[in-house]
Amino acid sequence: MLRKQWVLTAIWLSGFFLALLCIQSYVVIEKHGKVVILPEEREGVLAPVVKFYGIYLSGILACWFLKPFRPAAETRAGARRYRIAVMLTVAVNVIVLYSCAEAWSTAELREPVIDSVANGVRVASWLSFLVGPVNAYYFGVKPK
Amino acid sequence: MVFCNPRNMTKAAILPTFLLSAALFAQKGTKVEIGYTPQMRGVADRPVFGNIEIRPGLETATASKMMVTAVQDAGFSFLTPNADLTLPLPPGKTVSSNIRPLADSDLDAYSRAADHSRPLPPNRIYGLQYNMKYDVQAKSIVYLIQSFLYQKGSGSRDWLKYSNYYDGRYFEGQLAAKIREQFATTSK
Repeated sequence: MLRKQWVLTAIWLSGFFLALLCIQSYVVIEKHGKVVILPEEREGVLAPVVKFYGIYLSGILACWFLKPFRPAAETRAGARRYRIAVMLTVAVNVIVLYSCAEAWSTAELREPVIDSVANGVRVASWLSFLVGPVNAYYFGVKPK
Repeated sequence: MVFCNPRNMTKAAILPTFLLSAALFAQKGTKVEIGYTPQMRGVADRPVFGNIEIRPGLETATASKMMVTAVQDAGFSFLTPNADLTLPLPPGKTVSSNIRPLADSDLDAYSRAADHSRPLPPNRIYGLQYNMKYDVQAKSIVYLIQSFLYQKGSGSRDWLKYSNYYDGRYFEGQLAAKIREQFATTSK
């Protein structure tokens, strides 16, 4: 169980730091001789990402120490269930990361970075029902 | 009773003077004065050499038309007032242009002409906006032009004011030249 928690935590933390790195790169690295966003805009672009990951990571990190839920009747979280949890977590993180990295992937921007990041995070938030319960199970349930 | 003290009275007199001076200096911009002669007042009904002739009563319309044409000729449109530009813009009222992105050639020209001590960083997109107003006086039309520089990245949504130093007079001079050009063309 502990290894599974490590893997899921690593996915969330990697997603968070990659998203931050990607947004920071827009300020530092130039595309066609121009920065993608100005330093003054960075805060506005970062805000939805930090809010989104903040909710999950605060819960995950807290649950490393506190186990708020009673032990499950079925303690054997099988390999299949774990695979589903990892796949869903990766999928939601990829949505956020894609929205953050979109400006690097396309030659011509379809929408401003601040909007594409906000839209990606909004979609990922809508999909919270896919990752919320599975992560709550792996992090919040007391061992029997 | 505090102001009865001569020292305090001096202070009280200095403060408004300072504020008035600050207000006068705060009005930045470039002034363009175009002299004109009312039509039919030349010697023996002939136009006065070197002066622009304006028929009496058409001063406001002419001043407005020249400003609108110059602004549009420079590639700008009017943001405010959101009004019918077929009517003359009212004198004394500040009007704003839209923010027009500056081409790389514009920036090169700026770098060559303006203050080189602090050039504009080339890694961003710049936009220019003008605020203008005009006033019709007895023998001249006075324009006051103010320029504002904005910046954005290639993936930005909104323009942000460029808060570092730039030579606004360079851009104001460009519009001033356009206005003068309009008058020169019309007077020929």
